Amino acid sequence: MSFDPETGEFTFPDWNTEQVLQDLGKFIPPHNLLHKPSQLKPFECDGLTTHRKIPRLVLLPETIQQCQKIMRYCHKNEIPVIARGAGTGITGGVLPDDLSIVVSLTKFNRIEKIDPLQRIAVVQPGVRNLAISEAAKPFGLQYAPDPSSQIACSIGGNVAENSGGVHCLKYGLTVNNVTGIKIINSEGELIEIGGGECMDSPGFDFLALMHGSEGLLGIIVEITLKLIPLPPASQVVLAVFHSMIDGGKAVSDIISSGIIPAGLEMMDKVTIDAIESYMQAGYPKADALLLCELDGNQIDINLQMKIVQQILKDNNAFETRTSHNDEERELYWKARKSAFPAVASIQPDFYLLDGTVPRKALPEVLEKIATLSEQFGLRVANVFHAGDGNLHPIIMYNAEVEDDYEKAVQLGAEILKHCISKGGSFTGEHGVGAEKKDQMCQQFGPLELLQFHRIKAQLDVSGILNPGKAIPTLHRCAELGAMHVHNGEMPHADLPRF
Amino acid sequence: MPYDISQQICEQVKHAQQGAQPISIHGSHSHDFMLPEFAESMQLNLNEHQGIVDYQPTELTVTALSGTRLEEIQQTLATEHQRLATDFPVYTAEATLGGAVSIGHTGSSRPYYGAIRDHILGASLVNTSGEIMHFGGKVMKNVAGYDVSRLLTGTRGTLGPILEITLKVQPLPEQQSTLSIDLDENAAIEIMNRLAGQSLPISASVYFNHTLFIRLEGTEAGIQQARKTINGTEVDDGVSFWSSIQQQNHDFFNSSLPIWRVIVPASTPGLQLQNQQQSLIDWCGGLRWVQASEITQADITYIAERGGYIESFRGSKPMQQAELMSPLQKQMHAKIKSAFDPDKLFNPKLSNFA
Repeated sequence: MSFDPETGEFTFPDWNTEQVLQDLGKFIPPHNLLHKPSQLKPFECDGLTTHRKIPRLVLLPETIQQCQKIMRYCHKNEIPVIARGAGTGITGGVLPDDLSIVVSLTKFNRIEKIDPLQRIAVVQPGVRNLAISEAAKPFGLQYAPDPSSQIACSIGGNVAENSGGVHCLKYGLTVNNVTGIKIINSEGELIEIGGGECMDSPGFDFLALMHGSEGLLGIIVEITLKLIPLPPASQVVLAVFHSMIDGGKAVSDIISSGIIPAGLEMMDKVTIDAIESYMQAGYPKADALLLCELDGNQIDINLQMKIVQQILKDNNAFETRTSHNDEERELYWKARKSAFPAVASIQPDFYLLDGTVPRKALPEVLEKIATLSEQFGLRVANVFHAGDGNLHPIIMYNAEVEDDYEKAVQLGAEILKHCISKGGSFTGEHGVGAEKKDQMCQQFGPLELLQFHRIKAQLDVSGILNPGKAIPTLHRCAELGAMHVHNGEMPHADLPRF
Repeated sequence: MPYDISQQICEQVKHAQQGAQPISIHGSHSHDFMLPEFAESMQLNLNEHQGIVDYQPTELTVTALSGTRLEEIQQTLATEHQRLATDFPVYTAEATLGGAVSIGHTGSSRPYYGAIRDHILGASLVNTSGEIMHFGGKVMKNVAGYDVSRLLTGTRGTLGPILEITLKVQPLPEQQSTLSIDLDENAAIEIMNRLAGQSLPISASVYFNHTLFIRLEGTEAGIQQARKTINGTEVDDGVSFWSSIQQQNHDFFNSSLPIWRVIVPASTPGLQLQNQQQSLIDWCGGLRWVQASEITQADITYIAERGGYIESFRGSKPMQQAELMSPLQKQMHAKIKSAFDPDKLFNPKLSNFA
């Protein structure tokens, strides 16, 4: 057994590249079998570019049958497999290692079906997120989840990470907008999960289990999505404040007024300034900026807009602007979605976080971030899905300066620890990947981690699916000294600790 | 005040494990009519484990112990002009939150507001050693670890006793209104689906006895506009109609004939099973309740060909979930059952997936 469900430890034998190439060449055409250094280079990392490793082999299967054969072969030979979409993830979820083969699903790029009457789309995993809404638009429909990377990210990756986006506040996350998937397990079996075109399916909710499982439980090869009507009208109000606290309070007040905006986003001065110098969106100078989008019929929007305007005023917004047309509205959003490249343009090295907290804790957490930022001597830009309580602090550092990166990671860990202590989570939508496993030890105790390992051990019998990602071993947590003490007793007392 | 008997539950599980004795887990029994006989000599009653633990109106979340009555939750939420975020079936006044999640059937708003599972944020579960595990949380977004809290939907207690559940809630709509249109079945199915593709404040659509009923919820202005688009007749006592569907005390459900639950893609035209009498269409066409003395193999094939499945519901011998699964799906269930409950302690009579 190469994977121990009781600890999460795994070992795999080494393999001979020439031999494996020869074997795989029997069912994968040569042009889809990448093994030259120049071919492998693009697969060395995802969006987390601080972590790189050139894989030994990359496969580009084109059919479900090819994927099944790959899995059967790797299962038999105990070769780990990392399934990869567009590679836009930002936690190193598809970071290669010495023993794994990368299976890229970019050739699975067809929208197989759009059924406007039933409001569903059947797509392959390599289809870009935005391409789905573009294809649905002529029917007056859209696919709601819209991660900032939607122009490039693939829908298979969205399922694997359970991606969010600015419109998830009203329309839900990926898990709420997918009705079925087909996966291939580590033994190469093709399994249908969820209802497909139906709204229910017998048994456990495996569809939810697969969402956000980061390639550890199966390779997704087909997805059925829910499409929703395009709203007849949408309008954004932009409001600026002299403090993040006022902005944060306005967010809480809007939600408690009974209005669920289509998007409710906030950013701080560092981000506003960065965006302005990057793309001149015309954002006013301020310490905090709030974007609130309302959608639906125009009469409702008008009524709700009045309430929102009043709340903004009550929370000391010193200027508000309302979009007059779709171009203006899209410009406001374009600027928001450019926040990361904009910050990168002023400081190319940054470390992006993804904590969530209850909305009411936002002001306090923002203050804490400011204090920590000062303490560590590193600037932090804040841009976030405020309506969901999902923060994206961007820690800026200089890779040229010794220890600066380590300091950034440390600062990040402090911020996330604070989010967890406020009843939140260290990741709202980016996932755990290769890089945030230590936070798993803080958020979960050994009982939950053990349960996660047991789930994986059952569904991935050879343990070859993206091993070492997302769920830390119990040893690792023990080493970190972050073990939760249950009823005054250390669980798994027989585990060696250091 | 919540009456939290977690410790007692954990002790009972430990006891069951030590004696290698299976244990049946139940709530208020409001779904027993649709379940195969599952009682064991050792029984765990979650019905007494009840009460709202935490309600945060401004966060739109509520946390309650699994035995809390759904009615109590709705009453509490109503004091803050809120409600559960989708329709939960309430077949008896005693129906509990844990039961609703364990069964996983959503009411009429399923196509419009999502399923029960869509609004689950976190849950805690007892493992076979009688220890409490916590999954998910109380925040809107959380992708740390596998989503075990949602996985629990539809597990019928077979992965262990659920102790606590956190749900997303929603504001009460300003207004509700019901329209009816007289139509034949296929026209009704098509219209339900066409309307769902438009941005209208529809929260339920049911077709019964040549009439399509559409529930509108939203602002006065939004409903006014929808009325013009839909052009139906205003139903006087819409609220009673929808609660009769929710509680299944509508005449259709009081039939002396067995009632079957048929799940099909929403736009599937009207079904005709061999012994079918009346039918009631819910979920914008995605759920067909059918009265029939019995179903035949030909009926099962007929529905499978349309991409759906049929299960027993009332008045016939309850089916096992496993009967509705492919061999690989059964295998996957057996594996997850083993991951949580290798000794088959929890509701073993509902989990014969092998």
